[in-house]
Amino acid sequence: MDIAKDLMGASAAPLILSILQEGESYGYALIGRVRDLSGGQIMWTDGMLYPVLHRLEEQGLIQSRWRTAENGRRRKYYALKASGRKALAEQRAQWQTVNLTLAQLWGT
Amino acid sequence: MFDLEQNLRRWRRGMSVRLPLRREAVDELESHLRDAVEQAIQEGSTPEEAWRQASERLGNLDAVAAEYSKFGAPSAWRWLPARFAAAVLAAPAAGLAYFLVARTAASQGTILLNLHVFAITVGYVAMVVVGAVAAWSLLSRAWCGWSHVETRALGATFGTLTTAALALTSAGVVLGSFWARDHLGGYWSWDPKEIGGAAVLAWGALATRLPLPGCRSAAATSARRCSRGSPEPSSPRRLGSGRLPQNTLRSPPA
Repeated sequence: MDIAKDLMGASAAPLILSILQEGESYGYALIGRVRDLSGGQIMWTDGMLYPVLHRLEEQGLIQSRWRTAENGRRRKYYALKASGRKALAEQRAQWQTVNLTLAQLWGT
Repeated sequence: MFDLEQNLRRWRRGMSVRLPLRREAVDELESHLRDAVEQAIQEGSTPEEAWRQASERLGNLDAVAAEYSKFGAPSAWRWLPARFAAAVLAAPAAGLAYFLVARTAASQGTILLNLHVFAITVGYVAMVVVGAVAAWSLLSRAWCGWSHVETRALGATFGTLTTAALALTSAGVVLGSFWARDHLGGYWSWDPKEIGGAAVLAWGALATRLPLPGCRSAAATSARRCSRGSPEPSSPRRLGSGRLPQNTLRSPPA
């Protein structure tokens, strides 16, 4: 099953924000997490995640810092900001509305 | 023998040329590649396979760079030559200010003369720094590659420095002419120093009117011409509006 590009694009921000709600994370881990949760159905082109993170940071929803991981390598970690939490709550309500509407129509 | 570091370096060079002034983004992408390669090797791939997979999955360099270019141009101050130019200008300015304050405190030279010396000297140095940045840019362009982002950074640096040089030199010439009225008997006498000052002013005035891309500070006189080269406004996109560009994310074959 191919997920349409538009849908992939639209879901990127809420997916990222939702994962960051669980705690700080970095790009490579985010990609892996989404792949695992979706059972391999949502596979981002790796390089395209980073501009999205950059945009979310520019919008003030997340903040980043460089940190040295246990293996001694530096990684850029992202964390949710208060405004990001608020944006996520709004998006969540929107996605749930769409989901609920479709579910009723499809009788599931 | 496959050399991962060498491949990473080559990749980094390619990415740096496409993402000038965004060193942090390149660092982050490199960190990602290292994570991906390490993971694949742990899962049993050879380093060569791991590298090929990781760099393929990262996507086309131009496509990734195109995503970043949708954001506004990075600030000109992130351009190393601009920082260097500011430092080169600030250091002698601070030294000279210290020297002249000491002179004034010791009643050597009038305040008017000392202010004149400061404004003229720093103004001239700023003009020389403009030339140095230009020369450096020509060399860099010839040997290290160049991009439109650097053109804009150069234009902005040029505009700021030239405007500063022009303002300081003008102030210096005016202060000097008032000093000359009291001590030399006239505002202006066409001696070589004065002709030099006038020449710098004429060049500065001409230069701020050059149609250069990204010259913000000189925009007072040439806003219309500059607008052509100004960064494209990055339209703030609303979250979740599904406006991620083509090829942004892909889904796997079923």
